[in-house]
Amino acid sequence: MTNEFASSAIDVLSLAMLVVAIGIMWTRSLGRAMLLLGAQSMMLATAAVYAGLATNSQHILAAAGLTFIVKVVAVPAILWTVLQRIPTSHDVQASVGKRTGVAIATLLAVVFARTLGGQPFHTAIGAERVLPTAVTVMVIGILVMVTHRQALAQIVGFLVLENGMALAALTATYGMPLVVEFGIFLDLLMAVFVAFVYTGRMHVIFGSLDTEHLRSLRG
Amino acid sequence: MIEVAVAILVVVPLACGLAIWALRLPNEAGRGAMAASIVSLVAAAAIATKVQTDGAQSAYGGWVYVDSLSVVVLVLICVVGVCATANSLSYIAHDVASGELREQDQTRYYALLMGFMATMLTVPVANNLGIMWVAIEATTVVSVLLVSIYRTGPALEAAWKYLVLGSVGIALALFVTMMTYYASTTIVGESGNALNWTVLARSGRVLEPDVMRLAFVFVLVGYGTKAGLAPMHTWLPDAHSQAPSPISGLLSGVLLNCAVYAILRFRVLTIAAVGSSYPDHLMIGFGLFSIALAVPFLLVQHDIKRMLGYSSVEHMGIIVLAVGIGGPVALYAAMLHLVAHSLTKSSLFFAAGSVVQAFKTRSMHRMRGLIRVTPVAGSVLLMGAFALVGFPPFAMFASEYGAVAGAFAHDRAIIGVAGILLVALAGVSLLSHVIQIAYREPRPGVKVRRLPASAVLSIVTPLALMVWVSVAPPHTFRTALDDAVAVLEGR
Repeated sequence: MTNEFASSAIDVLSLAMLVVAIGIMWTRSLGRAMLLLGAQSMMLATAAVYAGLATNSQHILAAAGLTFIVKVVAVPAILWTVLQRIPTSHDVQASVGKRTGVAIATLLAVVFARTLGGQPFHTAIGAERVLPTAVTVMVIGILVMVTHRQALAQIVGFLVLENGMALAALTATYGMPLVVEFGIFLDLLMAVFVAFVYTGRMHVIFGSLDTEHLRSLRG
Repeated sequence: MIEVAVAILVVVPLACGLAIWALRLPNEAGRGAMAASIVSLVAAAAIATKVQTDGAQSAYGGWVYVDSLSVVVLVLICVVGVCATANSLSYIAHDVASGELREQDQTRYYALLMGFMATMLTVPVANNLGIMWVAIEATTVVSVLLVSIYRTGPALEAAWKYLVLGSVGIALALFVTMMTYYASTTIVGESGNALNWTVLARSGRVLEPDVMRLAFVFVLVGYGTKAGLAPMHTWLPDAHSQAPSPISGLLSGVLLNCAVYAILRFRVLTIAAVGSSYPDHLMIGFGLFSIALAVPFLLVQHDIKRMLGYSSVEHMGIIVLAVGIGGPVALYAAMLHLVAHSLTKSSLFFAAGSVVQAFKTRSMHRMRGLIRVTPVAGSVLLMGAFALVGFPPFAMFASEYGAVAGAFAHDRAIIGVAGILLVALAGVSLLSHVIQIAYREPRPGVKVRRLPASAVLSIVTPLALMVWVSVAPPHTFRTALDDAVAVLEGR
């Protein structure tokens, strides 16, 4: 596979990841948000496969495999279990409207594309355009966490942030050393598992996963 | 020898934690944890001695690297760790007896405590900045479970905020690690070594300045979240007040140091690449803001543990400010402050824990006559408060004086003045609360509460060590700090 082909494939995949992130910002259904998240992780894994084939690097392919196992299979499975187990409303409240949210996200994408266009990273597979996209995905992840008032939606936002980061790492440096990559996935899995335990407890104590209940500690 | 010591240091607590978790022996758990943390302390002492006599040590093919800066953080974790474990013995037994914790929570608690120790101890011995990141993230995941060990709404709320904010902060820190890796691979080529401190410190001068400049902002925001710097500190007072008090002592006393340690490492790299004025200005800004933000919250606080939490925000601000001021005097002051804060704050949290158990409330409105009702905890709380606000002869007087002196010496008089005013305001607020609860007339008929020996020792020891290094610092202690300053100056 030529570098040019891989590079444009990664380019397209990164834009698709951005569109999916905006979709997560838009949707108010938890089930749909999780499906979108799974799709985004799948795109990330595919981008890693392209990068691995183009550079003929086994450690990127290994990282792609890990991404698939952890982010496409394990994490969505955990989130799905929560969704099934907790008979709560599967709709999410958010502090901004659908249109405002998408407008903010799109605006961010434009701003980052323009300001980070001359960024100091020059990647060997020629995917310079990917970095601003990756940063936008990260910021949209944070935006989802800030605006959506539901514990599971906050986890989804965090995972979008993680995906953006992984995309940035993939294009800027072909990912991290494999040992580090392994540690990152382990930590991620543990964090999602702890969040899983907490959502169960939250449901028992408060009767729902609305983060509005988490406002007693002040001052 | 260093291989064995590092292995013992990390593996013994980890193995002990796993054993406690697997065997579920509630009665032996505490004693096992105690033994493991003492063994770790001995290993840390051996490593410290070796580093002080023979300089920085590498082991396991470059995966482990211990220098004078690591040693300071390492020894503090072990000292406070032993005291926290000793404190847990009576604290947890009390809560199990009073029904606030269940029988099975006891084994869970000690297993997690040991896991928490193991993850913290990995931070200062990791050579690879990526592994260091993994260890710091692991401290969040383990300690968050300790914060939520009381199954109450507020504890869950605190844990959730800690998990979410901590994860976002640490994710930004991962972005930095990635940028640094990028900057490094352009020089040393793509290899597993490219994130090793030993490699980066040598190639510092040629790391791409634009990348490192951007990276340092993310360092302060990312690891700064974990270090409790304002405005990313909001999780800290919640988590530190809701956790069991021995854990609060560890969180405030040594976990914050681990995050500061990461910031200090990246500061050395950034200075080598872009010069000192850029990172210094950022650190001064975050430092002053953290101190300033803590003041009003300290003033109106009525929850004793939240008050100590906000005081930690203030003191992390002081350390970061002192490092930002820079120069040998202020850097020495920063290291001294880091040590003194760890020891004092852990004593204070342990003392606050037994006060809270005695009065069955965290509200200072309902605490009276601490000195008479809980003589040991009360006096430690009072003395610790004086130490914390920087009264002489305690070390924090010397360190705050050093930081201000450094500011004046570097033509940053205005920063020195602002710093000292804010610190004084914060000090007055904290002290007025503590003096009130210590000396108000106790309610008639309140029984004097006696503490078991292990609790007394654990509460008194850190404060006593702080007094020791304040009034008669042994030669090895001063050399250790001098050596750490040398690392901070990139020598």
